[in-house]
This record gives sequence, C-alpha cells and structure tokens, in this order.
Amino acid sequence: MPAVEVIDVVKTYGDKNVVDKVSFNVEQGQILGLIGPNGAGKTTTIRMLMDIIKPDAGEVRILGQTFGEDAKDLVGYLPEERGLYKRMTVMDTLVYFGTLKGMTPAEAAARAEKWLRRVNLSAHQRKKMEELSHGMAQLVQLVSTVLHDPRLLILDEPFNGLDPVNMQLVKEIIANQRGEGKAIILSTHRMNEVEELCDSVFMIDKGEGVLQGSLADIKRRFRGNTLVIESDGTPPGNLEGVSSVKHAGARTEVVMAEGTTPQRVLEQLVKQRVAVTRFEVVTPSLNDIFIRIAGENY
Amino acid sequence: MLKRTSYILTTILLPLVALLAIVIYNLVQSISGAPTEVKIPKIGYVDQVGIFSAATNQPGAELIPYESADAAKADLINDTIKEYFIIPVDYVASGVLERFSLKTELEPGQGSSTAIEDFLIANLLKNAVSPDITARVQAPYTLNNTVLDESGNVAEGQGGFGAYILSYLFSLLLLMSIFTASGFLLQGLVEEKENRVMEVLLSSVSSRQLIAGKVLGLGAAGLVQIVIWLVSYKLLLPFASSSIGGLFSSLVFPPSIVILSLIYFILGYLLYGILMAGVGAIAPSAQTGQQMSTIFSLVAAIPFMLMVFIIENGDHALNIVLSLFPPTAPLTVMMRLGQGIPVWEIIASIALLVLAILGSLALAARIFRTFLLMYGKTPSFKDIVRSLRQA
Repeated sequence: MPAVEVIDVVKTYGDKNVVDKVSFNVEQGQILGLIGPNGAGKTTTIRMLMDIIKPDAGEVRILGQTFGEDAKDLVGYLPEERGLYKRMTVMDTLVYFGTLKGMTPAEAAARAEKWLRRVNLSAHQRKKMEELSHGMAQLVQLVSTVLHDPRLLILDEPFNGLDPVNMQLVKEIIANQRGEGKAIILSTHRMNEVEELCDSVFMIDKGEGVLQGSLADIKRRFRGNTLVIESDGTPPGNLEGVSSVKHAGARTEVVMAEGTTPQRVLEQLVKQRVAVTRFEVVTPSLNDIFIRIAGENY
Repeated sequence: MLKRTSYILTTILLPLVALLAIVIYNLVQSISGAPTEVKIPKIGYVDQVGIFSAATNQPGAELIPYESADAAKADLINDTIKEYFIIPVDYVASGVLERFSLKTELEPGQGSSTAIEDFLIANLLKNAVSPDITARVQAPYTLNNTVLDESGNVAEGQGGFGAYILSYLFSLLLLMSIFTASGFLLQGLVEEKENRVMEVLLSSVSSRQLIAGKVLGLGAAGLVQIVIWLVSYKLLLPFASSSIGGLFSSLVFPPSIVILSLIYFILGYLLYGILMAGVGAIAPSAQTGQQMSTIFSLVAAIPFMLMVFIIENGDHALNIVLSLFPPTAPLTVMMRLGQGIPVWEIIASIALLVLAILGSLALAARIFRTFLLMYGKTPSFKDIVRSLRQA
C-alpha cells in the first residue's frame, strides 16, 4: 500500500486552476522529489496534502485512509520559511510542537534531548529561538518535524541556510528516515539534492503534473543519442549506425543514428581494438531536464 | 499570553493601585490626626414677618437672625455667613423669599434649600401642631420597597443599588475583556502569520481547533484575571476607608444573578472572541486588524451607551430586541438582570447566543482556512463572501 496517494486533486481560486488533476504516489521507505518552477502549484499541493486547505476535487489518502484531522499526527511538516516562536526557548518550542502532535510533555522533552544531541544543539536547548543562527533554527525546525516519529515527512526546502557540514547532517537524517521506512516528500529547487536523495520525481508546472516516474526512468527517457568515448588516442575507424564522429586528442564524440544502440557502437570499438578508457552515454542532469520542461512550458 | 508583560502588569497593577490608594489615604489620615470637625455653614436671614425665631439649628446649616438687610450683607461680604435671605412681610401670602449670595450657581445647594425649608416649616407650625407632626411634615415618608413575583412571593431580584452595581460591573468587565482579549488575539494571530508558525500549527490541528483553542485559552486567561481582581477586592475591602468599604460591603449579589452574569459573560466573550479571530485571519497586520475590529467593538458597546434607557425601561420593545440579538444580548441582559427579566427572554437569548457562537465558529474556521495563509494582502469583502459560498 502506498504511504501517500494523491488522486486527481484540483484546487481552484476564482477562475484559475492552481492545481489541476494532479496525481502521484509515494511508497513507504521512498523519497519523492516534488519539483517545479516558482508559482507552479507546489505549495498549494503541499497544503492540500497537509489538509491545511481542502481540494475542490480529488482525494488525498495517507496509508490507505482519506486524509483528515486524525491523520495529522502521522505527518511531519517542515515549511519553506521557518515557523518558530522567537521568544520561546529551543526546548519549550520542541515540547510544544511535540504535544500538538499528541505526545506527553515528558515524552516530547526526552525525545527532544535525544534529537538535539543528534544535531549538536544540546548546548543551546535553553536559548531563545531568536538567539540562534538561521542554520541552527533550521535544524530545530527539522527536529520539530521528526520528533513525533511520523510515518510521512513533507520537507519544503530543508537545506535552506545550512552550511555544508549541516547540509550533510540533514541529508544523513533524511536518508536514515527513509531507511526506517518513512515516506518522504522533498520539495526543493536544488536538483542535485533531488538526484542524490530521491527515488522518484514529480514535476508540477502551471498546476499540472508534467513529469513523473523513478529517477532512473526519467533519465533514460531524456537520455540523448550522443556518446563520449575516451581512448589511448587512436581514432576509431569506420563505425556503422552513427551519423557523425568528432575526434580530438583522446576524446571522441559520436552521434548515433536512429535505431542504433550504445552496445552496437561499443562492440565495433572492441573489434577495432580501440583501447577504451571511458565510454559514456551522455545523459542530461535533472537540472537540464527541469530547465528543458519548464522552458517549453514558459 | 500568561507570560506577556502587559497581561501580568494589567492583572497585578489594578489591585496594587487600589492597595496604594488605601495606604496613602490611611497615611494621610494618621498624619492629620483625628478627622477635622465638620464646619456647619451659616445662613443669615432677616425676618420682616416676626414669627421666625425658633429651630435655627438645622442639621445642614445654622440660621443667624439679622435686624437689617445691610447688617446681613456686611457679614456676607466679610465671610461670616455664606448667604442670607429676607422673609418679606407678605411671605405667608406670597411664599416668596429673597436670597443673596456671592457665588453664581445653577440653583441653590440641596443642603441650604433643605435647611431653609425645615426652618420655615418648624416656625410656621410651631404653635399649631405637635413637634412629631412637624417632623413628619418635614420628612413625610421613608419608602421600604419590596418586589413580588407573579405568584405573590417576595421576588429574588429586588433591584436597588447592588443590582445596578452588579450589572454595571459585569458589563464593564465584559467590555474590557472584549477589548483587551481581542487585542491579544489579533496581535497573536498576526504575529503567528508573520513568523509562519501558523502553517506549522495548521499542520497539527484543524482551523476550527485552532480558533477554539485560542479563544478558550485567552478566555481562561481573562477569567483568571477577573478572579484575581475579585479576590483582591475581597481581601482589600476590610482595609478600605469606612465610607467606601461600608458602601461596597453592604452590596448583596443574589446567586442567581451572579450565575447568569457569569453565563452571559462567558457566552459573550466566546462570541466576540471567535469574531475577532476571524478578523485576525483576514488582517495582514495588527494595526489593520484593530481597525477592522472596531465595528465589533462598537456593536458590543451599544448597550453600554444605552445603559440608562435599558435599566429604566424594563420590558420596552428595544430592550427585548437587544436582549435577543446575540451581539448585544450579553450586556443588555446583564443590565436588565437586576431589575427582573422574563424567563423566556433569558432562555431564548442564551439559545440564540449559543447558535450564534456555533455559526460564527463554522464561518470563522472557513475564513481561517482560506485567508490565514494569504500573506501581505487584505481580501476584499467580495473575496470573503465568495470563499464562504465556495466553502
């Protein structure tokens, strides 16, 4: 059973469909990258996922049940902009948010202490939120999201304001949560983080789903017909099934003709006894794919 | 809210100010020794009839006879007497007196008038009737008033000063609670919108729970404040001066009136708290919120502005309308409780208030859901109506 099922969800403001028949699933123990340009409908989709706003049509199901007030404790939500009380201490903040999710204050405090050790903020637990740096506040917000051990995590730009060390720490925490079987929706503009962490991707643009699938499938779908070959410098001989060959030094760039597979080109190189040191099918990065799709829809 | 400095200050400051006033008053009394003797004013008179010589020592003034108007005038100017009057020869036929004083006044003071009146009556009747009858003519009656209920038994609410004070006190407290609590509510909501805590809160609770929680929390804080004030009042009363302390300790608050006042206080607070929360959801800043909430504050204050009319015109149609209309019901009914109000009106107004609270909670929750996460923009009235229709 998928952890999250979003089925033909629609949200309309005035005459405009801000989200239009969006559907996707997130499996348990998987991370879905929710991507899209600014104003594409990501935040509205997330708010419908959180039951903060109701869809005009369609349905959101969490662990097989229609999302309602009872399901809120199953979800941990990290908003894009920090939502913390400036004059509350770190510990009070965490205990307060923990109790909102159904924990007892003692239980919330015990777990908060454990998590603060994990993110190296134990020494700051009596400090007020306004005394913390942006990155520290971000870590506290993350702790408040995972404190009650939710089954589903919705993380909106979790890496904002983090230095490389803390960014690595947050990546580890996210990976661990996945390892524990949690379903995670990661909304971000950082495509390299999506490539690094996500199992699947859902791209939304102008309220509609425009790209969906596993990262491997998407890359395969957008893979081009160009090969990069590096060898000892010997140029390859005549190659069948290619439309062009450019050779410069040890690098050869081959454009395959329609119907030719990389395997067929590699077999010919082996037969010609070319000492291949690198053979790569040029695949676009997720960033390239994003720009291409968003550019087409612009 | 309980940790807010302004809340703590307001809660503690009122009893402290009362305590300080008592301490200063007692200190001044102890420094100045025994209370100074009350100076009885002297009123001169010139009797041209020749029958006014007795009863010159009246409780409110001492009457000093003068042979001539000039002598009286001289003493008035050198401040021996505060005023004088002439009883002309034809007084018994005309009833006209000539009064002279150095001050311009709207009308003669009550003390002077009573003293002159009693002095004249005592002298006019001294040879005709006994002193007892003269005293009765001067003060014909003391009214002991008893209100009966429809079955002829003594009614629980007997009106009077205590009932007026209770009505006034609870009305004032409700009005203060509406203004102060709504201020806190608006400020809190706008702050939570600005620092985005609202989004996190709504991921944990529903908008209806959020409004109910905020209104109940602030209501509880308001009640704590009132309880502290009432306890301080009880504790400070014995130390107050005998005149003020005596006045307040003589007040009797019938239990039924106290309970009904509390019910209306709570229902009224809930209604306005929910309405203010709705305003807080729409308002982009605390200042705009305060401006938008003025309309509710004005409606809440209508019965207060009509207080004298409401208290003096028990079953007037306007009173019934104001008692049944939920936004004005709490204050109006509180004001009428002391004078007696039909049971059906109380039941109907409570039922309508409860319905209005539930209705406004549902509407406010919808407004919350739509507009709470709309940052930096005030929705138009059309937007609000459309969103309520769509919801």
